[in-house]
Amino acid sequence: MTAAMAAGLRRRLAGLNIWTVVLAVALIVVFILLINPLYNILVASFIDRKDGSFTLGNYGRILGLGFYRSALTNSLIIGFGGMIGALVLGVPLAFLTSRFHIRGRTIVSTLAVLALVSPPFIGAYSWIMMLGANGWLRHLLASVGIGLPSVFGIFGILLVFTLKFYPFVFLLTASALSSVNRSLEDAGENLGCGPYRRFFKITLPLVFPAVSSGALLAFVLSIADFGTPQIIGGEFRVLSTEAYNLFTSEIGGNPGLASTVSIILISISLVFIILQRQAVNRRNFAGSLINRPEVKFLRGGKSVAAHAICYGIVIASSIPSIVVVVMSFRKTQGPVFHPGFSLSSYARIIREVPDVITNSFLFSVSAVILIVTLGTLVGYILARRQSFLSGTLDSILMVPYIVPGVVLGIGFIVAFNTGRLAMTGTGLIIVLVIFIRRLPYAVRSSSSILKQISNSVEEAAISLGASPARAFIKVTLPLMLPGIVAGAMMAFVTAINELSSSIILYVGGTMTMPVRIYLSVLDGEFGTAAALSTILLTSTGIAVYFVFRYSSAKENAFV
Amino acid sequence: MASVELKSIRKTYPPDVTALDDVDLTIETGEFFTLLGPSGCGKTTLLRTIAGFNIQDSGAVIVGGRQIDHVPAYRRDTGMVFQDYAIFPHMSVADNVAFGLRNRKVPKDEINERVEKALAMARLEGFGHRLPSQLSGGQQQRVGLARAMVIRPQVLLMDEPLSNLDAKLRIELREDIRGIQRELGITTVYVTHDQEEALVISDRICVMEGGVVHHVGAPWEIYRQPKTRFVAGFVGAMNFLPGRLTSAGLALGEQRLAWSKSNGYDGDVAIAIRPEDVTVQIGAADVPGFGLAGRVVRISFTGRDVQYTVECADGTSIDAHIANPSPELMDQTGNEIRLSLPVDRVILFDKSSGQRV
Repeated sequence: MTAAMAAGLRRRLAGLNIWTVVLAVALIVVFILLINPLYNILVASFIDRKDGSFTLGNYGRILGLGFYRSALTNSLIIGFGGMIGALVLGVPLAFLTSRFHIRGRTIVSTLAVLALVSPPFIGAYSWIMMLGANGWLRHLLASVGIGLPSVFGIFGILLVFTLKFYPFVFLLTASALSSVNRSLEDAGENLGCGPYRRFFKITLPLVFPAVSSGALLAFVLSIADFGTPQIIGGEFRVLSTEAYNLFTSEIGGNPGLASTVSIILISISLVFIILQRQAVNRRNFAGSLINRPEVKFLRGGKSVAAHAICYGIVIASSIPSIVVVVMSFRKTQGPVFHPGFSLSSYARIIREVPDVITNSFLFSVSAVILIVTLGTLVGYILARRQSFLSGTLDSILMVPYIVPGVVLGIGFIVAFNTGRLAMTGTGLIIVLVIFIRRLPYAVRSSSSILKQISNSVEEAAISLGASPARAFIKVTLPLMLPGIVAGAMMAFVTAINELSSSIILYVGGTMTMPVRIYLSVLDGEFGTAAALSTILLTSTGIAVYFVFRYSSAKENAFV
Repeated sequence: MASVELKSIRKTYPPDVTALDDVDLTIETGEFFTLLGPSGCGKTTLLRTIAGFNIQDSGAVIVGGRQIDHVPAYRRDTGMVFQDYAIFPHMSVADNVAFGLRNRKVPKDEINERVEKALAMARLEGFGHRLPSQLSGGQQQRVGLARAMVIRPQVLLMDEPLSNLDAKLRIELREDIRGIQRELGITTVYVTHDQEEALVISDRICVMEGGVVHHVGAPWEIYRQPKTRFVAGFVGAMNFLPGRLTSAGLALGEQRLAWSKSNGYDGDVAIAIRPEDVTVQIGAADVPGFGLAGRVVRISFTGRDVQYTVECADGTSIDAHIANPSPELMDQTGNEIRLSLPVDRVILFDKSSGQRV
């Protein structure tokens, strides 16, 4: 080998190394923060509480005891209930807004996005204020003769989930509906299909992949959500709340059983994801879009009805946020609301829990920096440097989508309570759990941006004498930047609203706003809860504005 | 400006695709050299090997006498023009063109001067401050051309630069590319699957198929004296008829004609003749060469010529392109007609190897 060849080989290895190092770091991070905690949970679920031996008894107890079995049944009930509710609102809203001229369509989709990003526990607590025993809406409805069941229990949970998760179905379906080739529908009509038959026989099957993805998201998030059933569920126990209660109960938590519940929760999500994948795989209708569907004008009564349905849905889903904001400005005396308005709730939170607010922002911003840095680099590897290892990483990064926050929180406690990596009780553990839960979203958004940027742009830079690193910084990165900003903002939204894992991991000094809100609601401190929620909603709203500003996908960036 | 030598370049993709199979080529300094072939023939792989975006499994790339196999792409000094333009969308036209000069740390004044000149050559005067999104496809590719040539690369590499443009622009830009290349004398390697484009633009053409070089030669030679049956069929239209060559002469069916260059060859051959070399008559006529009779199954008028498809009794189909047919020949669909194949226009390929006889 000549000296020149050896030097060349060294350069090639050096070129490989930047991305090899990133890949190695990513694999190690994912192993420590994801595989390790989940493995610990899996092991714990098979260990007998008394003598530490291997046992299937935990699963036997969960599936055998009427108490836990009903929690399992209840989880499935709210999963399907939330999914059906989301479909019932989401599909018609998508159809009306994408096929008919609806005035202020942007307002409709913006309100839907705001409903989507506002934390569900705020919805739960807001509906309690409206429909609880003394709620103003309950009194109002009662006065016109409408009696409602108690908001505590399954009615409240499904109400919150339906209004919270329909935007997934709506946004995915609307985007699919507006890219169905119009010629297919015209052909159906030409062959004798009436409008209804045509919708069910042609249009709906064509958008099935999108509708089912939305439905799946609603299902998985419904069974994973912790805050809503805990706040509004009353005696209605589900697996996610049981996992939490088993783990944290004061008379010596039971990590074995909590782990078992966690594994069952993950398994349910996994089964449904696999079922949906299979259903969609057989219906993959990729096609070139030649004719965009026509957007029709409606007249008279039909137009009024269509507008009423669209605005009815999005307003109903924004009411909880509006109520919370209004309540935050109500005059309070201790936990009791008084007539009139004031800033007393804000004064109280600034006086009593300033650290909670700073914690929230500190943890979220730190998590976002980690998420964006690693997410962008890993997204680049997945899009441009495919290999066996990057494929493996891609598959592992699917895992956080199906692991409920409560479960990962428990896993973190089990994994990082002792040993060299002990960090329970620190702010770092809260940052890291948010980081690993949201990393896949950033990776996916970064790699999908890259797939829209032709590889030859980067090659052009290299052929003009820019080193690979310079080509990435000068050409690829600037082109990715709007997408990265949008991705960072979305990561921030999910980070600052995180409740289900932080509720397990927080200690007195690392409390965040969502945790404080949850505790305030339990204590009946509605005023401080409302003020903190308003801060959350405002930060969320600002971040959403930037996503709309910088992401070309606009509202579709959220699903 | 430099010559390019490729020595036994081999590239395989797992599990068993051979993209380049021992390719040996020499491209002279200042030459316009075209790699022509169907998609998947290895032409783009070969171009990207010169650019350094592919690393060959074995063999050597030598540019200007220097072996550059292990020089990374960004140090190879090859300007490249891409099929999808690859214009940096976030930079103005002038910044795009200046990009390569800035990487080379050229002084600012000189950059401005050279950018101006390059834009003028590519007929983009006054477009410097525009963003690529404000340009048409043809204009974007002109930026691509200016950007690649402004660095005065040792070799200019062009990967199907015209295939995304419409027919009229394609002809216009192809003439400009040729003009600029002549003026600057840049060694250019050009990839295309369009045989007419290759014939018009090139000094020499290399026809490839399945990772193998079939024929390297001047355009007229590729067209008139193709070395393999593949080249004959790929470049331009060609009729192939089964025949047999022996010391006694060339036989087509029952007919046998003298063949002076048989050199002791004895075996089955493919007789190849261009449609424009076939002549057509109504009724018998005495023309030197093979005479065939058949029924006209289709007549297409292209404006430039009239194209006959004639089916013989034994089922073989022959195309004849007649530049200026007499009026009575225009109305013969379904009729019997006579064809003659002048023997001096015929070329022969070995039936099994496809090599020229």
